[in-house]
This record gives sequence, structure tokens and C-alpha cells, in this order.
Amino acid sequence: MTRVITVASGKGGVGKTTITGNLGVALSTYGEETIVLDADVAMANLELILGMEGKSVTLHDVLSGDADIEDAIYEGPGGVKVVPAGISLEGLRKIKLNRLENALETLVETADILLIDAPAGLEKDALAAIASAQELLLVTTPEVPSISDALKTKIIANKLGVDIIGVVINREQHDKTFLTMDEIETILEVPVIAVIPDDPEVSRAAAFGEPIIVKNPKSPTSNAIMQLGADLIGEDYQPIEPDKKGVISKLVEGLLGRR
Amino acid sequence: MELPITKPSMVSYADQIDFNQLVGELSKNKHNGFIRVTHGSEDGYLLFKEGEQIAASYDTYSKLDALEKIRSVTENDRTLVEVFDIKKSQIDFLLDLNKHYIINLKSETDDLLSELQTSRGYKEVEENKETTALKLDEPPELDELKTEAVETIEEPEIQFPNTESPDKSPDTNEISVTDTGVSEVESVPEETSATLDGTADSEPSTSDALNTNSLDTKTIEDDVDELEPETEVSETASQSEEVSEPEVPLDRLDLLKKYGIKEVKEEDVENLLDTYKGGSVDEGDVEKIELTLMNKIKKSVLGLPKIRGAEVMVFLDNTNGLSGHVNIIIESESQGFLSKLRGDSKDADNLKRQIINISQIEIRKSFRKYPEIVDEFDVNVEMN
Repeated sequence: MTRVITVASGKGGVGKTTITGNLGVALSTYGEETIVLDADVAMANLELILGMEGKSVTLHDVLSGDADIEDAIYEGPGGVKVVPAGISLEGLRKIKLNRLENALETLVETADILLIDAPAGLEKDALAAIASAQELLLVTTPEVPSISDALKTKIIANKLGVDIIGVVINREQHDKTFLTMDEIETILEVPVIAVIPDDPEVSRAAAFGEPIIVKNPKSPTSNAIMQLGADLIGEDYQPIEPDKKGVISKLVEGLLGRR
Repeated sequence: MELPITKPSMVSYADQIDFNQLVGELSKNKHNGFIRVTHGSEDGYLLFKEGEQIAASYDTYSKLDALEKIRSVTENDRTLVEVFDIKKSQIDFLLDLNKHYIINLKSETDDLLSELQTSRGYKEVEENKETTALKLDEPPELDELKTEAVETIEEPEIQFPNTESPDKSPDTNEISVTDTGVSEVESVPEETSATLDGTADSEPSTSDALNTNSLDTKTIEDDVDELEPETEVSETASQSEEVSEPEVPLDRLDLLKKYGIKEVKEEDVENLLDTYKGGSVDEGDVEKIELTLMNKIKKSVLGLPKIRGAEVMVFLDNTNGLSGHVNIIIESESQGFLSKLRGDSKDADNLKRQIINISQIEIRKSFRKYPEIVDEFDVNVEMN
């Protein structure tokens, strides 16, 4: 049976889309037929993160009734299937969210896991994305506003009968000014299932239009996301250790022409 | 300390105000904010939460050391004293930012302040330390000590904030001491705690003894038992600082309060979901709404002149948001032959329009919080 998992946060800018895109790639590398749907039709970014911008048919067209969902599915990095939202704002007015349900029904038939990147906030589009799922991953940063919004999202999801798998703390900085993992767990009353460190490599990868787990699989962020993917499907994951060669040995190798 | 510097609510040089009195007033008024003292290139901060002194810094000093420095610089007439007001909700954030400066135990402040006072004019109390300590071991004989100590402390000047703090220990509040001298000495904390030189001070024990005037021996014994381990723990100032490190509250409500996060109300969630896809209407409710609308529209239509009878049917669709169809069949009064000849089709159209308007008004009235739902309804009128 297909698992429909929505990744939501409440607050925008917490890294939800980055996590969704990378998690989709991670699940795909584990052999799961995964579709990532960018339901953030107003602020679509998933295609930028996965380097898939400029696709001709997008979710916009599907929700506008101008295309079938099958035509909006594209193959992305690591074999993950992606339904981009489409960055154009022109079609926004034509969108009818009730068409999302029909689109999802089709997608569910063709995937093991359907990951939905929900829009930020709690407007109709966000609620539609949350209500469409059976399970929800709550993404937050360890900051008060982010957690406050995550709490609202969690309560709404509960009300809509969606199971909350857990909280993913993104951009953890080991800074005492932020909330600790225990505090977040206590406030949200949801277990923390992954802690993703603050990593400048993420922005760098996005700038290159590549998911970080492809561009830099040894980074702590990549390891954390791969571990999260493994946990979601009950797989084991051995973190990839970063190169431990010293600067001097690298220099020597370079001088000897081994690199 | 990292504190938001805005417009101060009070600015004065130290010689123009009585610092003790100022602190006392802030405590009394349950002040939320802080005092900044500026002396030369150095500055110090004393943070208040509901009148209680909760954190202090002065230059490189923190906690009690800072408090002592603040006290000492306010004796200098060139020190600038400013009072800043902040919201209570901000204080927890500020505390979180300034954990290093938190004066965890209220008694620590009291100890220091009282010691500073006593060191000025109450040397006698110091002399009584040994006696007091001995007496503490022998609670039944404390009465003698009480008298002695009360006599010694005759002109107390202690006016520090925590003497008036609402958080005063229950012991202090409950005890009714008639002696004026004693009543002001109540500010001396009941617990034995660290002093600045790092030695355990038995002076509070004296006050303890004073405060227990009307208590029975058993209570005193209990107090002494409580005091003993504290004396052992607070052997050095540094140790006492370690002890005073704030513990992370893990109670959910405490955390919500600490970070100013509001609990989401059930009704807010309901309201929010009401706006979503008409999802607030259960399938079971649909029939009730149909019936209610039917009756309301029928009643309104029958109120129109010329209408002899009306049948109203309402069909709701709750699949993708609530929408509906209203079919109205009316029987109007028969008109004369001449009227028909004059072409009363215009009247019929007017009547139809009137019925549609009435129906839409009834729909709007039925969905007062969501009147725009009327756009989702088709109203058809058939005349018989």
C-alpha cells in the first residue's frame, strides 16, 4: 500500500522543501518507488533544489484542468519521480484545489511512497496538502517562532486525523539560545526523529541545483537525511564517514599527481 | 548582559536618589525591567522579574559579585542610574540569553544584601556567630539567643527589595513579631548560604532564630535540619555558583510559558477548519441543513402576496466544499383573462426574481459566518 507522507512546517523558510527533495532522493536510492509532489503552488522551490526547473507541464497545469497528472511526472536525481509545482504565477487564479485529490489518487497508484511538500502557513492549500496525507513529518528549526507554528500545524493535523510520524529539527546549531531537542519534544509532544545540522553545504548544493545527498553524500546533513529515510522504511544505514586524510597527505598526493 | 536598551523610564545620578529605595520601590511595584548603572566606562545591569531580582552583571562580574559591585558604584555620585521597562513576556527570553548571570536562589541576593548592610554597622552580629551556631545545635535554648540578638540589632536600615517582595518565605510572613527591630531584620534570609568570602555565614541563622519567636521547638529543629546540608554544600562561592545554574524546566506548560508560545485553542482550530473545503459539515448534518433551508425558504416564499402554494426542494453536495441546488415550484393566484391579455409575463418574471432573492437571503442567513456560500447555490423557480 502506498504511503502518503506530507512534509509540513507551519512556518516558512525552515528548510522543508530541501528536506522533502533530499528525502525523496534518499528513499529512491533505497529502492522505493518515490514520487515527490510540490504542493506549494504559490512558492514552488522543489524544482530549483532538484535542478528541474523549466518543465513544460506542472502541477499548476493539472490543478488548472489543462493537463493530466501523468504528464507532470518527471524523473529526478537518484531516480526519484517529481511533480513540480511550476513557478509561474499566472495560472494561480485558475487553480482549483479540489483537483488535487484526483491527482493524488492517480499518483498513489504508481508509487510506494508519495512525499508531499506542503506550503507554509495554514491556508487552504496547506490544509489540502495536510489533509491529503496519511502521515505527516513536521519540520522545524529550534527557534521559538518555528516551533510555535509547528505546534499549530501538529494540532491541525491531529484534528484532520493525520498520523504524525515525528519532528525533524533542521539547522541545529548547538547554540544555547535555541531550544533543545528535549524541549521541542516536550512542547510539541511528538518524538524528534531526526536532527539535521546547520550546514552551509546545503545552500551551496541548492545553488548548483543538486540535492545535497547527491552533491555531498559525506556531509553530516546528507547522513542525517539518509538516516531519516532509512528509519522511515525500516532500513539500516551506515553513515558515510568524511575523508580523514590530513591536509599534508592530500598535498603530498597532489604533488605526486595521485589526485 | 544582553538586554534591550530602549528609552529609560527613569534617569538619575546616584547621589540624587536612594538606590536602596529605588530597588525597594521596583520590588514593591513588581517591576519588569532592569536597572543600568554606568560608572565611567563600566556598566552593570540588574534584571527584575515581577519585582524580584533575577540576574545581575557588572563589567566582568556576574551574579552576586556583580550585585556587590553595583551596590558599591551606586555610592559614587558620578554613577548614572537608569531604569528600563520591558514586557514580562520578554524576560524569559532575556533570561535564556543571559543564563550566566541568573541569580538562581533568592536567598543568595538576600544574603549578599543583608551582609553588605550588616558589614557596615552590625559587627556585633558577626561576633555572635559562634554563639548562634552553637545555639542552632541546641534549639530548645534558642529563646535566650533571640533576646540577645534582638537587643544587638537595634537600628536596622535594611530596605532592600526582597524584604518587601511578595515572594517572601512563608515563615517570614506567618510570624508576627511585635518588636520593631525584629520586623525589619526579617529580611535576613533564613537559609545559611555562601558569602562572598566563601565561608558559610551563620548570620542568617541568627535571623532564623529571631523569626522563630512564636514557633515551637519542633519547627526550629526542622529548620536546623534543613540548614545543615545547605551549609555543607555552599562551602565556596564558586561551588555555590555551580549549584545556582538554572535547571532546564521540562514541564510542557513551563516551557510554553518560558518561550511565550501560546497553546492553540480548540475553537481556533475549529474556525480554521471551517474555512477549509466546507469540511466542517458532516454528512449527517447535510440532511438537517437541507431540511432547515427547505422550511425557511418555503416560509418566506409563502409570505409573498399572490403565492397560493409553494414546494421547495434543497439538494446539498458536500464532496468538494458545500454547494447546493434549490428548486422552488410555486402556485400563484390565478389572474383574470384581461390581465393575461395585458401581458403579465413581466409580473411573473418579477415574482421569480423576488423568490430567488428571498431564497438567497435565507441561505445567507443560515450561513451567517460564510455568506459567500450563496454563490455555490443554484436557485430555480417554476411557476404553476
